[in-house]
Amino acid sequence: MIKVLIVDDESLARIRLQRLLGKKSDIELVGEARNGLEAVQMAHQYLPDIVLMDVRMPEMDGLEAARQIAKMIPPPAADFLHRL
Amino acid sequence: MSDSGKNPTQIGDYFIPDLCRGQGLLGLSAIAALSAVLIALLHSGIGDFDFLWLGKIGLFVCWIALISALFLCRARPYLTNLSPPQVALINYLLVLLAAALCAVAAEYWNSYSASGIWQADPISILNTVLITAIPAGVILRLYYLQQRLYQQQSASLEARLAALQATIRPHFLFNSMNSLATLIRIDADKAERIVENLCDLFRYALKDSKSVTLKEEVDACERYLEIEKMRLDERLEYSWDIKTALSDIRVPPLILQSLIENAVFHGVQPAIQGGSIYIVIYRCGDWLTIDLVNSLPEPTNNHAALSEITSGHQLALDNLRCRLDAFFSGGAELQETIFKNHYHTRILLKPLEG
Repeated sequence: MIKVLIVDDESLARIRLQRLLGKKSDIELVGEARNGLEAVQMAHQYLPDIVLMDVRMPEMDGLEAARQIAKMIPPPAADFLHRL
Repeated sequence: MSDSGKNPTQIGDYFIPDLCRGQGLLGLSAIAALSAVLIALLHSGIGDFDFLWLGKIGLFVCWIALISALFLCRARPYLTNLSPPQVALINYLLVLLAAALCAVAAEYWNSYSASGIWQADPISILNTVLITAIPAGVILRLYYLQQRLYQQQSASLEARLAALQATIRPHFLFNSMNSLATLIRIDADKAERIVENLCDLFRYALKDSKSVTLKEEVDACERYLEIEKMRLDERLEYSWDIKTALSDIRVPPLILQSLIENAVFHGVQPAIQGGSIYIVIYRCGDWLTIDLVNSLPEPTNNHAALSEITSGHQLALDNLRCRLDAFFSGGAELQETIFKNHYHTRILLKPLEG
């Protein structure tokens, strides 16, 4: 199973990602964060393999969160959501 | 332009074309050659056209043109900070100097080859300088007008660009499409509502009219807020308080919408708990007042993000101020203050009835 953490400040965007990821049987959604700060905390808590992240978010943006997540050992793969 | 980079605006004001380069030099050579033909025609007429004389005068005129070009090209870097009249005067004198030098050289050469004596006739030199003075003045004037035309064209282009920028952020469309992509599956009624609102809003924004009634503007803003409310959900709270009739007041389109969009973009969206927007419209004597109050996100430590927010916001406000000035010719004001972590923007205007 691939553990995935999704990060987006908009609930509609998170719902859509959930639905898209739900179609894959080998993916396990470990958490949903609403901003960069939550993303960093949840990444340490759930140790995901992949973090799917929005760029523009309140509190801490996706770029800064990715920078902090990349310091984890082993670092999860972080990818940005280029929506449309 | 050859030496751009250091101070492009001043180079842009400099009206003499770059005579160090092919195109400017070619233009000048063509003018010189045509002048030579003109002089030859005046000298002998078409009946017994003197090609030998044309050759001689052509060579002479080309020398004047090339030496002028050399002077103007060399002088260019030193003159870019001067005003157009100063530039014109100095360049004019340089051309006359070039003509005088050529005349002196030709006089000496003619007298030496004719009689073996080095001497020059001052009257003849003055003659050459005067003959050069007239076309040189005309050509400098032509260069000046050409530059003015170019400046006017780029100014009108910039104005049109500014008008184009007074539209809804494209990001808003992308956000709405993303909301739609989710809602289509989970809440078809809401999805339908978003499509209707988007339709109304873009029909309004693309209408290309110079003015709309404030009622139309407020309706469009309501559509806009409704769409954003579906995206941001409980993170966006807004309310209206309209205390006056709106349908007889004309305003430029999207003035209030751009303020609300700014409030959502900079005030609500970056705040972790979301935020609120409050809009009040009322009359006070001759003046109509539109107040917009929005909450601000908690002060962030991210200075880069903060300065990006303020500069983007300031740009939008400056743009709006220009549009209000142009529309109400001074009878409108845009004010802004920050108090208790709220941003307060006020549009004051003297309505143009009708």
